[in-house]
Amino acid sequence: MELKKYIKQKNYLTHILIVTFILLLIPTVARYIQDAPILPGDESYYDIYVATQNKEFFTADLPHDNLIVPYKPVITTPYHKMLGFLNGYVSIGWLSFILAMILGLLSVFLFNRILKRFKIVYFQRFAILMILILSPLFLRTFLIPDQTYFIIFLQLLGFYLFSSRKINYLRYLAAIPYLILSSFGIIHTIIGVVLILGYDTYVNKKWKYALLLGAASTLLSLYYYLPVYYKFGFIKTQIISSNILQTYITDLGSTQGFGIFALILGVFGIIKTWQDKYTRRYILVYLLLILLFVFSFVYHQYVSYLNFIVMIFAGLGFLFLFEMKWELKLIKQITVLIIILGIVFSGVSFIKRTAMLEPNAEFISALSNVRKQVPQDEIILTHPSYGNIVKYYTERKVLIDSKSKFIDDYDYYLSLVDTLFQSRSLKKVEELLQRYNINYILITKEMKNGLTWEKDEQGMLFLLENSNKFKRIFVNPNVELWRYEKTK
Amino acid sequence: MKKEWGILLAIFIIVAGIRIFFAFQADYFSDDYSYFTLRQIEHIKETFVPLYGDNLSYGGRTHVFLPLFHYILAFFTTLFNPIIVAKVLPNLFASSIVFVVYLLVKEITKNENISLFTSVFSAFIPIYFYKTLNTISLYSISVPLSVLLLYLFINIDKGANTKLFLITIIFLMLTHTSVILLVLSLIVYLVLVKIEDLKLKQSEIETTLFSAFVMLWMYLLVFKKAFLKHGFSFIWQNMPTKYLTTYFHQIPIWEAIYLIGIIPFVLGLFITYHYLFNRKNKKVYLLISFALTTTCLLWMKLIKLEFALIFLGVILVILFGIAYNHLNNYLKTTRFAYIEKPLFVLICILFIATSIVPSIMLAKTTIQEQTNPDLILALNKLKENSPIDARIASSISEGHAVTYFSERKNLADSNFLFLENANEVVSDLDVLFTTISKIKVNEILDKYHVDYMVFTPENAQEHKIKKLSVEGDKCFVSNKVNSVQIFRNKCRVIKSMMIN
Repeated sequence: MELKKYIKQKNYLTHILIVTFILLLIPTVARYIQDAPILPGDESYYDIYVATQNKEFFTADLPHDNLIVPYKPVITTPYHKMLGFLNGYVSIGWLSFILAMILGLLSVFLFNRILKRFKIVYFQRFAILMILILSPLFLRTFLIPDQTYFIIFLQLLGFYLFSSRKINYLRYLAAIPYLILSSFGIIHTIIGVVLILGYDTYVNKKWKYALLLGAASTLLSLYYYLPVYYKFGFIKTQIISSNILQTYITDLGSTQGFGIFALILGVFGIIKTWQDKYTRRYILVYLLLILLFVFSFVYHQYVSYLNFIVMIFAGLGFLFLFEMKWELKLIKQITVLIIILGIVFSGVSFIKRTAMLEPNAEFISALSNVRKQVPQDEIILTHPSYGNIVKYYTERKVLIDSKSKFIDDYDYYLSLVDTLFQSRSLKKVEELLQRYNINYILITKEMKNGLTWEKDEQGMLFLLENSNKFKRIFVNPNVELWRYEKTK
Repeated sequence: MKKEWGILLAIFIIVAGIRIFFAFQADYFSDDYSYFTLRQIEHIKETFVPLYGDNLSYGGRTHVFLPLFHYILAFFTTLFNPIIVAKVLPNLFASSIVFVVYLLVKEITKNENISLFTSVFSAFIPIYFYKTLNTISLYSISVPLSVLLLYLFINIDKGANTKLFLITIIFLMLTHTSVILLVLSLIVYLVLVKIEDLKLKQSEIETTLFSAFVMLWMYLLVFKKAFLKHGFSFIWQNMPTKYLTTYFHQIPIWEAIYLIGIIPFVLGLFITYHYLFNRKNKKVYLLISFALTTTCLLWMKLIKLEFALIFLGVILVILFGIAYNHLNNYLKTTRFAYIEKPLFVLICILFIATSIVPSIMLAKTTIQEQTNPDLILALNKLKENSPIDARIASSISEGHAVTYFSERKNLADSNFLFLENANEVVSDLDVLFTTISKIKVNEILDKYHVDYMVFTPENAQEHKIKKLSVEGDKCFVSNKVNSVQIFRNKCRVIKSMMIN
C-alpha cells in the first residue's frame, strides 16, 4: 500500500500532531489578520466572563449573573479558577486559545495512547485520528474554547491513567482528573464513571477500584450539584428536533454534529468490526456507542463524547474501504479521493465558519462605543447569540444570553426577544421595553441578513426607521446602536 | 453496420421525425419552465455562465440548478437558431431511448427481434411522449442516460464500460437529480440480490459505492445552501402548500396505466411477480429494484408523479420485452407454437391502440397547451412600452414567459427554491386575482412594487374568475391584446401599514 510507505509507525503521530496544530491555528491566524479578537463565537466568552468575575468556588449561596435580566446562578469551576489565576500573566483571550491548543494536542496524544491500549494498530490509529481532527465536533471543542475542551481533556487523561495496567500507581493517579471532573456537573461525572466501570467490567475484569473511584466522584459531584439542582432544577434536556439529519449532520446545518462522510464511514466501520463483535474491546465500544447515541437524543449538548466513538468506527470504516480488494482500480481511486475530499471539506468548512464568527473588529469597536455611551446600569437588547460577547466587552446588562442552563423561564425570554424584534406595533414594543427597562438596542449586519430579520423594514426595523422614539447613536458597517427615548 | 443497427437507426429517425413534426406544429412551448431554460441557454451563450443571480424572477433572486443540459443546448445555439435547437435537440435526445432500450433488452433476452420491437415500444410511452415533445424537458436526456447507466452497470466488467459508466454518471449528475433514484435503486438491488442468495460481483458493490459517494459529494456541494435554508422541504423544492398537493397528487390507477401503456404495464407487472417468486436473474432484479424504488419514493411522496410515471413506464417497457421473450420461448415448447405470429399481431394491434394512439392524442393535447400567442404578443408589447425596471404580475404558470418575452421582472414563477416567503407570495398572488377589494389589490401591488398586471383566459380559468376587480378602476389603465388584458397601475399607493 502506497500510503504506508509514507506513514510509518515512528512518524504517524508527529504527522497527526502537526496537522492538528495547523488546523487549530488557521482560524486564529485568519482572525488575527482581520484584526478580530482571538476568541470566536459567543460560547467562548461566557467562561472567560465567569473567570474574570473571580467568584467563589462553590459557595453555599450561589452568586447570580448580574449582567442578564433573568435569575441565573454563576457556577465557578476549577477551569474558571485556573483561568482567573493565570489571567494576571497573559490576556485571558490568548490564554484560552493557548490552553485550548495545548490541551487539543494533548487530547489527540492521549486518545492515540488509549487506542493503542485497545490493540488498534498504528495505521488504524492514524486513520482514526486523522478523521477525528478533521471532524467538526473536535474542531468546535478546541476552536471555540468554552470549558468543554478542558472537560474532554480531563476525561481522556483520567481514562488513560485508569486503563494503565502495567504501572499501578498511574491507575491511582486517575483519581485526580476524575475528582476534578466531578465539579463540572453530574452528567460528565456519570459518563466518566460509565467509562471506567465498563472498562473494568469488560476488559480488565477487576472492578473494585473502578467502583470506589466511581462512587467517590459521583458523591463529590452530588455534593456540589445537588443543592444547585434542588434550587434550579436539573439540566434542561435539549431533545433533538424532529429533523434528525439536521441535528446530527453538520453538512446539513447542524452546529454540533458529524460530517456526513464520517457518519457513513462509521457505518462501514461497524460492518467491518461486527465479525469481532464478541471481542471484549468492541463490546465496550459498541456499548458506549449505543449509550452515548441514545443520550445525545436527550442531552445533545454532550454529543462531543459520541464524536470520539463515531470517529473510531469511521477510521476503521475508511480502512475497510481502502484495503478492500477492488476489481475496478479507477473506481477505487476516485471513490477514495471523494471520501477524503468529503471529510476534508467538512473540517475545512467548519474552520472557515469559525474564522468568520463574531465578534469581528467592527463589532469590538462598536462595543467599546457602547461601553462609552451606555450608562453602567442600562439594559441592552440584542440577539441572544451575542449576549456573552456584549457582557464581556461592555460589562453592561443584556436581556438574555445564549446560556440557557439553570434559567427557569429561558423560553419565555427567547419568545420575548422574538416578539420585540418581530413586532411592528410601536405600542406593544414600547410596553415591553418599558416593562424590562430596556433603553438600548444593538443590531448587527448578521441580524439584518437572516439571523433575526429576512427583509428590510421587517418587524422592529420598520419602527426604528419610521418612529421618532428611536435614535441611532452609533453606526458602523457591521453594528448599529439605537437608543429608545421613553415617553415623558 | 449490422442490419439491426440499420433498423434501429430507421426507428430512431422515424420516432424523431414524428416528434419534431408535432413539436413544430406549435409556435411556442407547452410549459412555462421551457422559457426559464431558454433564458438560461441564451445567457450561457452570451456569458458562458448560467444565470444564477436572476434580477427578473421574483424581482431578483438566486437560482440553483444543474447546468449541463443548458450548456449542451447553448453550444448548439451558437450554430443554429435557439428556438430550432430547443425544439429539435430535446426530441432527438428523447428519441435516443430506442438505442439504450434495445441494448438493455438485447443484453437480457439475447433476442434481436424482441429487442427491436421493445425499442419501438419505448419510443411511444404516452407520458414520456407527452412530457418531452414540446418542452425543453430534462427528462428527454435524463431518461435515456439512466437506462444507459443500467446497461453499463450490468456489463461493468467488460471493455471500457467502467470509464463509460464513470463519464455517463457524472454527465447525468450534472444534468438531473434522477441520479439519486438510480443510486437508491442500485442499493436496493444489492440488498435484493443478497436476500435472494445470489452471488454479488465485487465490481457491482464497488460501482454502487462509487456512485453513492460521488453523488453525495457533488450534491452536497451544489445544493448545500438550499438544504441549509429549507431543510427537508428542499426535497419538494420549497413548494408552497397550494402546489404541493397538486405536485404529488394521486391519480386513479387506470389513468396511470393509460399514461404508461396497458401492455407494458400488465406484462411488466407479470414479469416482476414471476422473477420475484419463481425465477432468479440478477439483471432482471436490477430493473425490478428500479421499479420498486420508484414506486416506494412515489408512495412516500418524495418524487413527482410525472417523474415516477416516466421512469416506471420505461422500466415496465423493458420488463415487457423480457416477458414477451419468455412467452415466445414458452409457446415454442408447447403445441401452441403456431400462435406466435398471431400473438405478435395481437400485441402490435394492442400496442397501436394503447400506446401509439394515446401518445399521438397527448401530442395533440400538448400542442393545444402551448403558451397563448396573445400573451406573447402582450408581453412583447410590454417589452417595448414599459419602463425597464417595471414589475409584472401574472399567474405563476406564466411567470417564466413574462421574464423571457417582456424582459421585465415578474411577481412570481414556478421556481420556489431559496424564496423566503413562497407561501406568502403565492397566497398574495391568488388574492390579487380573486379579491373584489380594490384596496387589497392596491396593497399587494404596493407591497411587491408591481406596475402591470397581465390577465389571460388561462389565468381566468385557473382562478375561476371572469374579470379582475380593477377593471374600470381609475387607478388602472387597461389595454387589450386580443384575449389578453394588460392593466397598468398608475396610482401611487399610500403605505397601508401605519405605525400604531
